[in-house]
Amino acid sequence: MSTMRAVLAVLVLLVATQVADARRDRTVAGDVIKAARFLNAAQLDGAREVLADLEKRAPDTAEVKWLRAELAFQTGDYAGAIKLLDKLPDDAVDGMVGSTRHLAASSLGVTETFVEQKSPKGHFTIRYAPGPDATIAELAGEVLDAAWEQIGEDLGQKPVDPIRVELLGAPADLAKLSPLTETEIETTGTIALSKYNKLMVVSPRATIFGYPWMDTLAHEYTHLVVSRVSHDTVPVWLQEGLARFEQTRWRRPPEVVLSASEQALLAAGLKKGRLITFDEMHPSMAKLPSQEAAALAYAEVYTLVGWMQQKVGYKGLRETLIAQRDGKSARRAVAEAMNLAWPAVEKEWRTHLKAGDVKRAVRTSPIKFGKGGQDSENVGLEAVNAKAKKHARLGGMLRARGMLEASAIEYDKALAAAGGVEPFVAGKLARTLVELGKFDRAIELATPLAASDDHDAVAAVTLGMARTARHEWPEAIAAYEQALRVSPFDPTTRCGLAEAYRETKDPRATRERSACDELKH
Amino acid sequence: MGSPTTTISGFVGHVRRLLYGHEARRAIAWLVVTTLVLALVLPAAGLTFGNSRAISLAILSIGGLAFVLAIVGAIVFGRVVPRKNYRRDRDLARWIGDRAAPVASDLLSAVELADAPARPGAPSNELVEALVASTEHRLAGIDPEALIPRKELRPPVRLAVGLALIHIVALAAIPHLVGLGWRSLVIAPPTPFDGAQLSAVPLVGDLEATLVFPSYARRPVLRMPSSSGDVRGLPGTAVTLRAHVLVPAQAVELVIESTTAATEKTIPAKLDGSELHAEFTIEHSARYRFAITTPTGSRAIESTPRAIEAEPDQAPTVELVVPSEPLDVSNLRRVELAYVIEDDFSVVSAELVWEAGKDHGKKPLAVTPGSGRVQGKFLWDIAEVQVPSGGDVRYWIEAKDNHVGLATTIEPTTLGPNIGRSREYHLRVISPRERHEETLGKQQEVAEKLVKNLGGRLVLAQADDQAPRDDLAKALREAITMLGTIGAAYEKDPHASDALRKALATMRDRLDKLAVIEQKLAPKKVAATRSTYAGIDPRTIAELEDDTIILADWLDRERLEGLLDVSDEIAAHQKRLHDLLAEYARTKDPRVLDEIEREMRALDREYAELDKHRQGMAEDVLDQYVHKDALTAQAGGSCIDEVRRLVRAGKPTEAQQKLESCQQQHDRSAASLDGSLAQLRGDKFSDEQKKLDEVMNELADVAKDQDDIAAESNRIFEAYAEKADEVAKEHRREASKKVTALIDKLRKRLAGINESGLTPFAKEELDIVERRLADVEHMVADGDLAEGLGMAHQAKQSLDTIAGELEAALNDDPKSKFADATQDALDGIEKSRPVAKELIDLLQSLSPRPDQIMSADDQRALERLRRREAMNKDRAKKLADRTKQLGGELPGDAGAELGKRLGSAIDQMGQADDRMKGKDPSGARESTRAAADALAKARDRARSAARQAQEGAVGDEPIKIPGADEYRAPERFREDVLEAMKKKGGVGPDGYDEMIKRYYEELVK
Repeated sequence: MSTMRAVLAVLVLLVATQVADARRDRTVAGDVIKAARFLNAAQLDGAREVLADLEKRAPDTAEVKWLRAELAFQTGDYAGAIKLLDKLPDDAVDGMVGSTRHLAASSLGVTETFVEQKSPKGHFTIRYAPGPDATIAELAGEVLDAAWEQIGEDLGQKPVDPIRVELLGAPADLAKLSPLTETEIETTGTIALSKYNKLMVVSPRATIFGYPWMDTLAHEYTHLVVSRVSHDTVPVWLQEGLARFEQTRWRRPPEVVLSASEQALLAAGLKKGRLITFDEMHPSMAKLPSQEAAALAYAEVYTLVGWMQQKVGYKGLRETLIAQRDGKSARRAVAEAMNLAWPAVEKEWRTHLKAGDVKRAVRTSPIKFGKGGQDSENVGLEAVNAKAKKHARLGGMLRARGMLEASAIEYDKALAAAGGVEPFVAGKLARTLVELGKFDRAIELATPLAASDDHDAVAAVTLGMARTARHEWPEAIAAYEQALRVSPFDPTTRCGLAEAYRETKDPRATRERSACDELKH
Repeated sequence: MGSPTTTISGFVGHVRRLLYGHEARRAIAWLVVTTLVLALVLPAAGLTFGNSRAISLAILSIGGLAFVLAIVGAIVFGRVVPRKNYRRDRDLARWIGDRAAPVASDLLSAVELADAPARPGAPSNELVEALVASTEHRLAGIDPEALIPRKELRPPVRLAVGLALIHIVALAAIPHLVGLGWRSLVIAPPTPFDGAQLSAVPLVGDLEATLVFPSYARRPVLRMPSSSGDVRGLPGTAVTLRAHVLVPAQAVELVIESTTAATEKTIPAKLDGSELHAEFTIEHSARYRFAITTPTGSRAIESTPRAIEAEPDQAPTVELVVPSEPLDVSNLRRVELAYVIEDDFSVVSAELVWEAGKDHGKKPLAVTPGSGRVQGKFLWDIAEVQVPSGGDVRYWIEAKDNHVGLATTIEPTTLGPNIGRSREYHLRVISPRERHEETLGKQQEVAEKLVKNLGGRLVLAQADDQAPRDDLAKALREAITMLGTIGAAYEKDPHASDALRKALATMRDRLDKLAVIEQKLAPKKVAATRSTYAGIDPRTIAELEDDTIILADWLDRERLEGLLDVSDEIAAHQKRLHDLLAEYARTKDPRVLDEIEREMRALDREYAELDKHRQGMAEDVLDQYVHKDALTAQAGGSCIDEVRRLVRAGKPTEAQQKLESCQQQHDRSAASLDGSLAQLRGDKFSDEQKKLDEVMNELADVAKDQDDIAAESNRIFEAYAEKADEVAKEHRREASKKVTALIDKLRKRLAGINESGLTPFAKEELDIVERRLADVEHMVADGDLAEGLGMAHQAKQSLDTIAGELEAALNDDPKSKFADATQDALDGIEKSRPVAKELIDLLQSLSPRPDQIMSADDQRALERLRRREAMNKDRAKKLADRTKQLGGELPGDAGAELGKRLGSAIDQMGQADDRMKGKDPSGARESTRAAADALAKARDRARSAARQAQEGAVGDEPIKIPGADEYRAPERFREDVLEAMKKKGGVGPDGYDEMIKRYYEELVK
């Protein structure tokens, strides 16, 4: 977001200069800047209004044509944007024409075959490539509608225009539709973006084990709402804190859940007195000296937002956003909302952290993107304890060749060698045991895994299968729904869920059966 | 009874008519045969002897006579003779009796008795009548037709039919010959030269021929005074004849006769008084005669013709020299080819032509226009040849001459150039990488077998069943055998490392031992129990677990190395494409465009190959080790698509720029892949990688130091060069003045030498002295005093050589008539030598040594640098020793490669040390830089050698023709060598001894 702001800040200066150079009417120049600011602040209605006036007065200027194109682009009319820029050189408006044209062309290239579906309540337009993504479009709509309702309540804005959501087939597509490179996407684990007045989300089918895609949708939607409420004035660190805090609001009450590594980072930071100060986070998290420092900073702002919400509720959070929209700094806005001086805010928040008032810690694992190699059961093996690795690897090799019994023996050897908890091996063994019909041990192994990491789809599906086999339908549904939030393209999940819903007379059985059939074929 | 057919007279008369008819038909048949024979023989004789009218007439007469005789014969034998022989009934009755024996006697008697006059004792009438009646009665049973010998007609009829068929065939097949035969008999041939009188003596004299050759021959006009009149030239040569007629003439013409066809052409000559002038163009070989019409109108022609010889324009001869036949190359190697093309006039173009299945291509070769002999060497990039591994390629060189041809009225000649073609050679395109991958596929099969065996045994160890155990034992033995086969395949595989070979060999031994034990434990008759194998099962399972992991690790590593090998190939193709684009931007040659297209297609294939390799790798290996940056097949393909678009849009410069960005992108990807491999090795072959890292770190330090040394050396040289330039500028004018004066003095001395006293060798040597003095002047004028000094040394050396030569001549024959002159010459040389020495001294004094020019600070800096270089050399030596010690413990060929490259760098460092000691900043700069480059190469090469990347497959080193470099020594070198060999004892110029030795060795070879 900060990058976009910087670009547009430069643009504003340049537009002003160029218009002045062209000796056009001063009012027109001012309006061009105004329209650009509206576009920058995601205030499309405002931009439209100014632009309508500009089109009457200076319709043929490069700046006005570019503004129209930018507006078309931000409203999803990529072809229209390209057409509007026709005959304008790439370097016009200081290169913004070329930049918009390039982005519109690549967006059109990626999305021109997309089909679209309205969310059940009509607040979102989900666009996706025909094929398997159809099986998650409705789910995405349901999640987002729920998020629209809840986050709208929390942050004080429920957009009236339908928000576009583009489900992308691969990280490479996200790279085409944004300023990020593929490598940056892989390195940083970026899987979704809220930018250009839309949400862009990589479909979980691009990953090997899936990822918490539903929460991610809500996370990106939070960014959009925060941008709109604050006119895009909230700095990245606070944006991330808010989005992280709000991403699960569509399905549960407000709660701070840190990963084990985040907890460790915070604990170490507190112990050594080396927490990242909010001054250090300003103006950009990207300026922090290391990835570790950035991770610590994100954990801090997450807890800060959680603590604020505890203290002043959503009302306080909303006031913070409004204050920033009105020109106050984030620090000042937070302090005012908390009715404390900023040093006091920091002090109390640290005290809160030291008190360990964080709900719980969870395991997390990085998102694994498919790289087109041969199917393997050993993706993620690097996380396994060195002592257990050999047998775990053999277990995977045997499992991949359908030798389940032998595979289970090797996994058992691996667990024995590890001499403790080994989630990767336990998950694989549990799944193998389910496939061998040994449900009790499978449940025994998978239950703690699914409980400690609600992003572990393997354990959740395994649990679902075992519970299904034992006709324990409510437990099976809970497990499958957990898997669905991460790995919705696994036919086992969708078919198992269809069966469980049917058994419990849940109307969603039809949707899941349809997805099951689609994914099986 | 009273029927006329049965009367004897009637019967006999009937038979007579039949017999006459038969004989007539026989005669006619033979007449036809005779006629057909004559109709064959006569034209044949006409063809053979028809040139002479007399013989023709004789043949015709004989033929006519034979025909007449045949007609006469037919009349005689067909009509006259039968009527004479069978006119009387008695004769005919006898003839009938010969053919109808039962009535023979009675018929003859009856006929005779019936016609017999009365005589005493004759039988009674009644008896005769009775005999007649009886005979008639018996004759009634005989068919007169049956008495005629029809068989007699068959031979002539068959012959006639046969001959008629021969005629038909002859008329159909060779009608012109048949016609010609007849015509030559029947029609009198035209009188030669229209009846002109043949003259045994020439009719013209003082003949002068002028030949103007066709322009393509590039020959000057040839004037031949006092010519015999015989002319020889290329088709198209214009011939002008001038002569004097030797007899009174009203008109003169040239009668030109073709030597191959019975045609002639007449060309009128212009007659001016007694002088004639005629022109014709040589079209083909022919003869010509002068024909004269006298003022009285009579005509005479020379009986002896003069020759026109059309000189054939030969096709070029092409010799192609190749490294070997057949030649095995990888599809990225470059092959050195040499050629010699000779033509009788001029070679216009030449090209290398190849065919590989449906693909064929041409590569133009450099040809100097107008040259009759072209020779050269070139590198043929096999990447141009679109042929899969294992494919066979035929190749040769085709050359065209400047022949344009001539369409003549008499006989057409070939239009267009003559084409010469070399011998055809073959090469096989092989790819060691693809072979390696085939073996890798087999290794994968073994890995699969071992995994399945492990899986089976893990479950089996908990059961007592013998049958599955037997199956597993059998499968294990098969895997062991396969391991042996794979080991053998890897023996000569350059992509396989010693470590891999060793790993497979030891694995095979271990498994073999276990398999033997298991076999021994197998009970012969009774069923085995689990306890039977209790001892061996855990060992076998543990071994299989280890081996499965070892094989999987090696497969992962080899596949990742395979990705890098393909990546290397892409880099090589990109480099070649870059060169081609540069060439195209420079030349705009459309043939280069074809090569560019071919190269881009090759890149498409390589990217597809890269993608295929990626898809063949395990997802967990890709996930863990291979960064997204390294997997750029799609991006690379798109990048080349963009290059293709720009090329097709006619924007080669933009295409080049785009390609450069593709190359950078690919380099990043390759570097990332290299990092992936190092990471994988670090994880799975940690010892190897750790040692490699240690060596590479040390190498990086040594290389860094060497770079610094080279930079400092460069700085010292730059400072020296600047000062040297200043000194040279200061000295140039003065030097030039002094040197010119001395050279003039020396030249005067040389001019005073008595030439008659010089031996031929000494004269040649004196010429060299003159040339060297001119060189000295030239060099000094350029300010290159050092080079001028070298030339002065050579001049002095030559003077010394002459002195020696002359002394030897005097010693050999002191009483020679040249002795006095030789002594004079020697005196002259002796007077010149001190001046030459003076010249050297002067030049030496004008060329200060570097240590005289360099500042004291720089001299100290050079000394410090020398010590630093010595220390770095020691480090490099230690590193080389360490590398040698580690040897096989380093991955792939890294040990050997590093040893080799470090050796080269150490040599350069030694040279740098020598140069610094000698206060030679230029040499020091060169050697320190060379050492730094060698170390950089060592680093680059060690990385790829660590994965057995085959340098030849992607490097620039071509496959060379053995001895080709020595074969074409530089012209200057040959000159110097020859000059040197003239000197006493064959001593060459300084520093050339080794080269001379090699040159002569090559000559001997």
